[in-house]
Amino acid sequence: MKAVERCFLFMGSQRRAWSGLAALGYHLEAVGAEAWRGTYYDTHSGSLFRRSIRLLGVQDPAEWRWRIAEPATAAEAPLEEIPEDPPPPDDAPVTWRGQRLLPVLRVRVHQRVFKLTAPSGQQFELALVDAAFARPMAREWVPGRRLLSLSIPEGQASEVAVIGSFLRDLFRIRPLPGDLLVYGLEVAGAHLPGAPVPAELKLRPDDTLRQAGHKLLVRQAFKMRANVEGARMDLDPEFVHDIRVATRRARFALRLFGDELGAADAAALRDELSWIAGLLGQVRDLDIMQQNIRRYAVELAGRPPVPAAIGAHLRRCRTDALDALDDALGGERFQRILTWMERIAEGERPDLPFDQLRRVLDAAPPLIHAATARLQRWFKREPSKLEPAQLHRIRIHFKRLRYTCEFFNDLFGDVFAEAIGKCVEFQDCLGEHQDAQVAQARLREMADRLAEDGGATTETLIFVGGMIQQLEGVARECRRRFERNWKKFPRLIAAIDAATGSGPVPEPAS
Amino acid sequence: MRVVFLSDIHANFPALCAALDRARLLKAERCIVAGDIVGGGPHPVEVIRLLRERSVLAVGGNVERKLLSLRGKNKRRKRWLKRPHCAHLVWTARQLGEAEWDWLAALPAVLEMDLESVPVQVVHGTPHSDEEYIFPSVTAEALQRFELDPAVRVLVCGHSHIPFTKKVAGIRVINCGAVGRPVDGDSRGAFAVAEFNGPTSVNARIVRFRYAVNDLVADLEERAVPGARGGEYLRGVKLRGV
Repeated sequence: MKAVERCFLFMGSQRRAWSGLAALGYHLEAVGAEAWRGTYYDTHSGSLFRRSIRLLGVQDPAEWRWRIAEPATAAEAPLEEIPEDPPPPDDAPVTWRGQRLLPVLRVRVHQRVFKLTAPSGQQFELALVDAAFARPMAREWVPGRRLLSLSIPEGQASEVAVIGSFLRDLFRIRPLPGDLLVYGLEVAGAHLPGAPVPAELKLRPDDTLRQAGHKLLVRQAFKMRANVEGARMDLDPEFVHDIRVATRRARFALRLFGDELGAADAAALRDELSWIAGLLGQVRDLDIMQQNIRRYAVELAGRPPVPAAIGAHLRRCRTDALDALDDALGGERFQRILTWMERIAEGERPDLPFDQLRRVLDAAPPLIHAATARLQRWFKREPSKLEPAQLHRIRIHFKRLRYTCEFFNDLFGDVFAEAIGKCVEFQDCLGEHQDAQVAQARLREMADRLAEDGGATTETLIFVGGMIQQLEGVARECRRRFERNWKKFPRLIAAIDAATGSGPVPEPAS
Repeated sequence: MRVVFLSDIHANFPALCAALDRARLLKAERCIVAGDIVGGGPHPVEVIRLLRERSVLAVGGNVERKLLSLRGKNKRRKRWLKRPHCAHLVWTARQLGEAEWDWLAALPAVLEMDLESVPVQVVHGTPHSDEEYIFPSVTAEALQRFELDPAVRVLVCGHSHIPFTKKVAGIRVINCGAVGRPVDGDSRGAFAVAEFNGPTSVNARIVRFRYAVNDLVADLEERAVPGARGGEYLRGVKLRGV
């Protein structure tokens, strides 16, 4: 049966609230006490949360079961909408509807349940909830304040609203701004699933260039912090990827806004970020390589299985790389970097008068044009004659153009969406080319190392040879795709010109 | 005897609760409501239930009169829904249960009582109509037109949302202002408190109080009350015609 559920922060005297409700004609009857614990799950990007879906694995107390709920209309879901298997008690990831779900928050609840009958005869379930919360990796539980939860059968939402008003206005019991998950994440000091960027970190038209640089760096630090736990737990390769992307963006922001942020400071911070970027890159490259080897092995004629020696070698390399990354992410140096990113250029430059401060709204179009100009210089070259290293260079320029557009996109009301999409196409194509190049070099290096260790069987060497051939084919195909797309590069320039420069400067978003 | 007179609650439950809290602090012994209890706000059921539970004496206002014409299934609901200034009444009608309708239907248009031997008349607009206004500029001649019972010493009203208390031709006129819909540029709610000390002594004053206006605005939005503008409550003004 569907139900409407609301939670309140229970403060003050229980007796006063109970007697007040009784005076209003409500009848309260104790039903019993319950204890359960559970884990909230979501995708890495927080897609369930964004759709207001809460997936909770509950143990109450003897068996695990799934409970799917929405904040406004909590429900025991139809069977086809919840995973078939019970949730894993050890908070391990789980696959559902083809998505990998990760533990987001653990919750432990003890509640006293009451049956509340309204003067109209309508019945509610009212519970006094003592809950404690823990992040997936944390050992200690953080207790929340006592909550009052109110639920009622579907279709009686207005009745819940009425009693909600009595609780809030008459007995001063404040409603929770969100649901139990949102409250628990706040109590446990964790980010919302998918770590949406807080509104105060979005650029505003009246920001100065220095403020914009500061906000963009704080935003990257926020994204990095949000993904550290998942990366260290190795819950999903995407956590490492997201920290890496945030690191790249931060380094690029330091390059773009370096003069405004303080050149020496920016250069020093970039050096520090290079250190963590290197460690992240090692893990990420191995993730990509494992992924590609699995993918291309299937495409190889005869589909030979990946030799055990190669699989074991890659796993060993990844474990070593991840251990090094884990130490780094848990260490003081990384914490210092994050704090530095959050504090750099916090105030306005003291040496400049107000009227000389550059506004981000004025500075953005020239910065975007500078990024396109760098690519236009490459466009004069014959694409078939470009070396792999040069293609990689072009890829980096596309990445910078994309980041520049993305940095300023909310400022101009999403006008760069088309240009960003085109940049992503170029970037993906060149990225696949680069990955194939790196994978070939790594495979050769791995074959040499295995041969040195005496672990290179004929089967392994044949597999490596076949795989290198396959990768060469992939690289050729990527180059062909790029050469085809490269002819359309002027369209990307036209899209950017339309959005910023040659035409009128776009209106700032309000 | 200390009595608080409330008016124009307009289904604003946070404001009513804050007003009653203030009345308790003032050690008021009685509470009387001068109409327009619901309409426009998001909490008609809560307001009626609380007033009913506290056995508060009340008169009906023009809003209650119009609302009662929508009781039960009738075609007027459909017609009124299309009128921007009436749609909130249809919304309110849909929220009410039988018990709330019965309570509204039992409200008189005029209350006449003796408080500490002082004859008091409580109306919503004027003794003649719940749609006429009594403003601070009221004169003795204007009062004469209302043909009040000569014994009445205190006339309590609301409707204009402009609070004042004034003695005119020997009659203490009290306009309670609005508990839940102030429009005089002050976002705080208003009510009147009167001290009855025997047949000749009546002192009255206006009390302003703060309430959780943000909660109200959030509820207006959440419950989708037609035509409601949260900004008007936040500023204590009315930006369009009635």
